[in-house]
Formats: sequence, C-alpha cells, structure tokens
Amino acid sequence: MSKERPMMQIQRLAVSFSGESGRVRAVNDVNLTIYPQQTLAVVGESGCGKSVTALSMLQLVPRPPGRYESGRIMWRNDDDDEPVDLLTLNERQIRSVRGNQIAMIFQEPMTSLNPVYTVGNQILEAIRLHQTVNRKTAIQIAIDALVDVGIAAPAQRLKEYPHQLSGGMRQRVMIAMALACQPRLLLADEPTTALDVTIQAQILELLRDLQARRGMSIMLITHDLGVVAENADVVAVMYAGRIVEYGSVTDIFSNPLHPYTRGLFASMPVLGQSKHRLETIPGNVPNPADFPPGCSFHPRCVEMKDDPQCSTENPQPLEVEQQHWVACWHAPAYNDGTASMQDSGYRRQAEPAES
Amino acid sequence: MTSTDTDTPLRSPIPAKGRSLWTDAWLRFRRRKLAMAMLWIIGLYALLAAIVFSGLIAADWDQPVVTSEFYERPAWSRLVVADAQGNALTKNEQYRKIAPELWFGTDIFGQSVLRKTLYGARISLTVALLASLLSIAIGVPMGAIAGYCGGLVDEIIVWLYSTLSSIPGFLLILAFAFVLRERLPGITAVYVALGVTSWVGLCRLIRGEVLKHKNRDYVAAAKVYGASQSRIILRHIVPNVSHLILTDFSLRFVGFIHAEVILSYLGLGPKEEPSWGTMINEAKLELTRNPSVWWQLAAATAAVLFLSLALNIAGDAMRDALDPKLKHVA
Repeated sequence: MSKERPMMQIQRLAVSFSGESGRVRAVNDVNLTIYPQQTLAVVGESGCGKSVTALSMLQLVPRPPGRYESGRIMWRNDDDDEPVDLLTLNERQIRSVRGNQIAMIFQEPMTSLNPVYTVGNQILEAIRLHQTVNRKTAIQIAIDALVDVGIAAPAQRLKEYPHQLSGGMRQRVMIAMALACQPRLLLADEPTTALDVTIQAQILELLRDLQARRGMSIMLITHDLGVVAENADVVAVMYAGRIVEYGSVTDIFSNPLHPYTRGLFASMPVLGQSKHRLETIPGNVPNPADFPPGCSFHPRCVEMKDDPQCSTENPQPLEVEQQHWVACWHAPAYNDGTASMQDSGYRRQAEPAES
Repeated sequence: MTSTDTDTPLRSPIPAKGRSLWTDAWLRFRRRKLAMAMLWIIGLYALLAAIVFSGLIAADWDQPVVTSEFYERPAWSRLVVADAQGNALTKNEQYRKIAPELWFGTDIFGQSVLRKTLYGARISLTVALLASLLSIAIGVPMGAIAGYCGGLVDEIIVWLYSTLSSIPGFLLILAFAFVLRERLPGITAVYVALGVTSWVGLCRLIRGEVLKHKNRDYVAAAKVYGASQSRIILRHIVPNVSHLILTDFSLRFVGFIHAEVILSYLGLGPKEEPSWGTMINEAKLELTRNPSVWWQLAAATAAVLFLSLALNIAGDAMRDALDPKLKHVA
C-alpha cells in the first residue's frame, strides 16, 4: 500500500465560537497533513485550538455556538478512494465515519464510560453500530480488543462496571472501544494527562504498539513535550489558534525556530540539571476575543519585541527549511524570499523510511 | 506484549461479578428495616388491588349486606355475646362470629364499608398509576428533548410548561376533569386530567439533568463512536437519570392518590364506583347525622393514610439509596 498519499489534509481550517464578546476564532488558517501510519503530535497550551481542530474532523464542534468558517478537511479512508470533505458530510454520513474510520479517545478515562452499563455492553454497542455481526461474534471481537490493549481476564472484565476499574484500565478500555472497529486514524486528545506517570508510559507504549501492528495513524494532542519526543513523527506547534511551527520531530527538537517553541523547550525541566526556577514564557495566553494585532505571540516574545512588523503583520507559516514551516518574521530565511508559502503539506518522502 | 496491568495486584480480589448501580442501590435499600416494611405494605395494597381487579373479592360491593338497618355500626363495636341457644360466648368466639363484611359497618344502603374500601383501592391505585405513567410519558421525553436539543425546541417546551405551570395547579386539574368527564368514560377522565396537567415538574427536572449529562464525557465518547442522537438520549442519558424518574414517581403517586380523593370529594371523581374520595365525600353528610356516622370516613382515611405513609417513607429511603453521595450514611 502506498504511503505517499496523505489520508487526511486539513486545508485552511477556521472555526469560530460566539461568546459574550462576539465571535472569536478558536482555530485560524490551520493546515495539517496526516499520512498513513504516521503520528502527528499537536502541541500547545490550553485553549490554543488543538482540541477544536481534532473535534472538527468528526464534526463534533458544538454548533451553535461553534461554526466552521472556512477550510476543508479532506479524508481518504482507503488509498484508492476519492478524498471527501468531512465538513460537508451530513449527520448520517459522518456517523459512519465516527468510530469506524476515525476514532477518538479523551483525556478523562474516569468519566468517559457510561456508569450504568458494563464495560462489555459499551464495547458491544460501539461494535454493533458499525458492523452487522451477531452478539456472539461481537463478544469475541470485544474480547480480542481487550486482549489487544493488554487487559487480563477480558471475558470477566466485560461483565464489570466502570467504577470497578482503575484509571489506567479505563483508558485501556476506551482504547479498546475506539479500536474495536479498526479505524485508520485515532485522535488521542491528551490521552495520558489524567493518569499517573507510570500508567502514562504504559498507555503510550500501548498506542505505539497498536499503531505498529495495525498500521493506523495517530493524531496525538498533548502539551507534554516528553510525550511528543517519544511518540511523534511530525509535530505541529499551535499558538492562539494558529500553527506557528510545523516539521518533523527531529527538526523541531534539534532546531526549533519559533520563539514560542523555543520558550516551550526552555521551560522544560532537564533531568540531572539543578536549577532553582524553571524558565517561563512571560505573560499569558491572549484572550481569543482580543488577539493582539500582528503576530499574536509578539507581546510575549522575548526576542524581537520592538520590531514594528511583528505588531502589525501576522506571519504565515513558510517553509524555511526542507519540510520545516515556521511563522515568525525573525526566523532565519523567513524574509529573504527563498521560503515558499506552500500549503504546509508535510511530504512523506523526506521522512526516514520506517519499519 | 504489554506487562499485564500493574494495577491488578492492587485491586481487591473479591468482586467477581460486576454490581450494577441498581443492584447497589437495592442492597442499600434493603438494609433499612422500616423502608422494607413499608415496601411490604405497598405490596399488600397492590396485591389487594390486583385481587379486586380479578373480581375475587369485593365485586359484590353494591349488594346490601344487611337488610334490617342503614348505617350498621362496625361489628366489633357491638359484639354478639350469646349464641342462638343463649350460651355465653368467649371473646374469641364472639370475634369469630362477625361476618368480615361487617367489620367496618355499612353505609346508608347497607353496603359493606370494607368491600367499598377494598374496591376503592382498585380505583385509587389505578388512577394514581395511570396518571403517573401518563405524566412520565409526557414529561420525560419532553424534558429529555428540551435538554438535549436546546435552542428553539428547548425554548418552545420551556414556554409550554411555564405557561402551564403559571395556571394555579388545582384549578387546571379541575378544568380538565370537568371537560374530560363529558367525553371519557369513568375514571379515564380522572387520570387523564391528572396526567396531562402534572408533568411539568418532572419535565423541568429531567431537562435540567439532561442539560448536565449531555456535556459529560461518556456522551462525547458515545458520539465519537458514532451513536445517533436518539440513541444517546435513550440509551445513554435517560438510564443515567432514571433514578430521578423513580423517586419522583413514588412521591407523585402519593400526590395523585390525594388528588383523586379531592376530585372525588368535589364530585368530579368516578361516578358509578366507590373510591376513597367518593367515600369521604359521602361521609361529609354522614358526619352531620346524630349520632354521627364516622366509620366510612375512618376506613377511607386510614386506607389513604397508610398507603401514603408507606409510599413516602419507602420513596425517601429509595432516594437515599439511589444517591451515591449518601452511600455511607445509611
């Protein structure tokens, strides 16, 4: 199967919400590309639009107050299919995508399972919504799914209620439920944030393992750079609803170009280094209702604060190096005319061949 | 592959089979002796009503049981002390000689008050049950739809029930009962009038709960695996608020029994058959007689009293049992 054709291309996506202070753009001009068997990490602070981007893919942004302002989310379930725009599907069509082609897991495994049903009941429901199988077969699929996520005594766990399981177990169940229909893309919205560190590591390892075995793609939403380094192939850094830097995990980690990305790295504790205080990025995330003019990061930017261009013109992400986009007027090669606008379509070929 | 959960050793090895929230609640409820006793009383009432329905007892309530006298006093207040031969009877024998239909005396037509009371259970329980079911059938779907869909649908439903609830409740019931009794036979008018006027509280309750639940993560999870709106409402949210429907039901049921009594007292109840309300209605004339006739009133009141007491106590215990926050209190 060809890995060269993207399975998902988000093009100039913009999502707005109406709030007390009028319409605010939660996501602005976002371009992303996901290839088969790739892990894309979307990194950013709370409220930067990473979850909204993921929810848009399944048309799960509540409308109202949300609204898709512009853009397309082209999705190709099978390599031979013509891509469809997920945003134009009707309720029935998008329902057959949800859970079946694209699945999602959430941050809070403690509350993501319905307390009145047994675990088995819920996995069976997810299976039988998309597959016409009899109960016996469905139970077998569910047991297999639980085995797949490393749950011991699966036949018995099926009869248990969510309150009888620990957080790690519940997240495993959620993953089993999400993967029971063999989706091609898994949206993982901070899947480990609510878990203990040891369980986090297990869950991430599980995701990697499942990805390798099933050949699915993962969009990993997180604010934990450690998680990104270990799991992602490609990284998109979001700030205030826009992508500010986008590139392979090696490029982003070895050569971060945007001051915000650099700030994120600087604020990470380093093992073995004794420091009294961690670095912080000065200031706060701007209120979406009141983004500063120009580059929305400029009031917090320590590097080039006084440049009038930063406070008047908003930089678009440009490809300043091979496969490395950045939206900053002061990034090297940003202004010299060699950087190309492009559609931020991260190209597969440049990646080191895997497996 | 994966190391089989590190959390397994930490878990207690005991719970072999999952216990649902309902089972849990039932186990908590069962610990309450008083509530259990009340549940038995409710069961007894239901059983009596069922037997009356089957026609095994009290079907002949309209036949006079005495010919000699109107308003026969309750038999235990005038025991026969000697048999036909003039031999004195022991207390035990005296009590045993009383015909059961005379235990509570008779009314003006010589009809047995006991039989009428039993027959009244049938009417009262039927009315209360059907009215409750009707108001659940209206209130729950309306509340769930309003809460889940929001927007214009929500506004219309809220407007509807606000309008309805701004009319003084009992006047509304009276108006409905008055209009309906011309069109619907017997007790149907009563329970329809009660049902269609009293779903507002439940609807409002369910709407609020659904509003709360629709943003829960498990609903988001269900959406993500492709469940339709109706499936999410019916299979995911409603079961999570169903305990409220049940507790509301127990309290509502009492209210309907009282409402039926009041409607009957006001002459809007069932016309041809005795109910506790019509019995109390008759009693208002009987009490003014000299000597006053109190037994019909006493029998009907006692019947209402014990049932509402039992329902209230059991309902209260049920609410506690179903509230996970009070798990360790009882």
